[in-house]
Amino acid sequence: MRRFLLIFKMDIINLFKNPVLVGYNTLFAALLIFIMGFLTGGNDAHSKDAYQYYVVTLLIYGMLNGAMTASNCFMERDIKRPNLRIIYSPAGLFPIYFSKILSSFVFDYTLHLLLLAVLCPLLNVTLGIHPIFFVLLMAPVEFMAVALGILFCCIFHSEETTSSLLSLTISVLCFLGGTFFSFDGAGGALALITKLSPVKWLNDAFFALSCDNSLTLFWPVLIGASVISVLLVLGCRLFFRTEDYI
Amino acid sequence: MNPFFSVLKNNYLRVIPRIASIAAFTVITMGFVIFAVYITGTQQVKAHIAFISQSASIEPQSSNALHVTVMAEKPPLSSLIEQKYDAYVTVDSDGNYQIETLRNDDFKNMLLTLLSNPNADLSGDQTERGVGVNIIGFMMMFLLMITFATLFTFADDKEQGQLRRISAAPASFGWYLAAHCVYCLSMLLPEYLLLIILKFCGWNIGFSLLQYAGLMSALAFLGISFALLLNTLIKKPDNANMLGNSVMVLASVLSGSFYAFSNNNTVLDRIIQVIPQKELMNFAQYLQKGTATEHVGSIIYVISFSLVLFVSSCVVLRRMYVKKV
Repeated sequence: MRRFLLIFKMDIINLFKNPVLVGYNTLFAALLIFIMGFLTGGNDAHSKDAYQYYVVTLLIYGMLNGAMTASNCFMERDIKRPNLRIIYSPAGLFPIYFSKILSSFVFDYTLHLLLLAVLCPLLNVTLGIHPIFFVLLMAPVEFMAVALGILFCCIFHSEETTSSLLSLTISVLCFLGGTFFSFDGAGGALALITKLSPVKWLNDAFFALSCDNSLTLFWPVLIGASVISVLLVLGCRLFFRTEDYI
Repeated sequence: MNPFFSVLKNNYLRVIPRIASIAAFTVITMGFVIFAVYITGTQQVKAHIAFISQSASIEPQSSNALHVTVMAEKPPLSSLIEQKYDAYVTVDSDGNYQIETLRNDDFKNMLLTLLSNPNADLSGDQTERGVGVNIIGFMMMFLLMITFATLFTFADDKEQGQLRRISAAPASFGWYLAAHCVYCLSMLLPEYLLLIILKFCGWNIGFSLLQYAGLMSALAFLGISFALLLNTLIKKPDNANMLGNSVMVLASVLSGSFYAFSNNNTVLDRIIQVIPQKELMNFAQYLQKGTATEHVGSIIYVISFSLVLFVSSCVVLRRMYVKKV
């Protein structure tokens, strides 16, 4: 346990010392929310409604992009070699990838909560009567995204491939899921594609929590994301082979 | 051999291990081109409403511009926020429509017109974007990202110290950079090929192939210069990449590449006018209207913007490597 904590501490410090990652998860996200909300707010009677939409959807976008934080934390060119020297230490294999998962999760979750704490009062956005549910539901989703990033790193052994593949997939799924523009009203094939995007299901769950205070989608998403997270961690265990890195 | 060809060949050989990610980008871009062609052809629905009534009394008619869903109970508020419906409509005891919407009064008035006459002509109040403008707009962000992804060769050269060795070798720096530009441009050929195929299969793609070549190379030049500058100024390629992609996404969205915004804020409009992507979109729009020659300034702005970026990165590179050695 002590060995795990040592690695974990190092990973956390590494993450918080990376200005680009911190900026991406806070400043860039906030800027995107401001700009999108401001631009589309022109059609609304109250600009707050546009912000309500983009705070939720772009937060989900940010959470899914946690996969890139994780791949950066694991296989970034400068960190990769020293990082993988742990293979030779008596720490075991599990702490190597699991501490990356956990530290990226803590990093992203902290920054996103900070973002919400600043933006919600500022933009007059509501997270529902009980924001605790909203915050609670964020955790498994963040964890799932981060574990996905680490799994891809374990499979491809390189940050570039992981981040370009994942960022593209996530961006496209988010685009189709209505992160930037809602396609719900578009009708035809587009409305069908939107419904198929997993990002759309996440959006629906978080909107139901924040706008309707309804818990109908809370448990399915919470349980689904937790199960997928566990599967992804098991996948890391399967694909993380030391002989690939020696 | 001329350094131009050896660098070019070397670049292509280095792409092979990374072909998967670049191919993924290309496929997505092509998907968006087809999406643009598809979406421009379909009729735009002006409003989706949920009509709430317990008794089957008077029901408004659905039409091309108005989409009506009749339901017994009002859907939750989140459906309005998510824009599943633009408005909830009920009939009060006097037989008047009661509209509940998050949109502004203009929308309410348009909806009332549509409710009383579903086939009312509302086409005059919006400038429709043609298929060519949509294709360029949808491709823009991805083309810029592809240029960033392909210029990893330059970033690697710089990070791993090859650039210092090249600058010391009897090879011209200009040819070296030219090879990178040509290589980057050639990576956009698949998209262009798709446009050619679409054109010859009889689809309407808006502009002529020559116009597409011009617009795409202007875009690519912008992407190359920006990627070059960022990679020159920032030591780590990962950081340069992440920052560059963020800026590209923001600038492309702001310039209305996916969706033309209608906000009435003059200060913001001024700021947006400075973004080269916006000027390129404007130029594409003028091209569609056939008034490109009067507005040639827009495209000149884009090219000179890229040129400034390109020249300044060349100057910095020269200072960093050639003069120091």
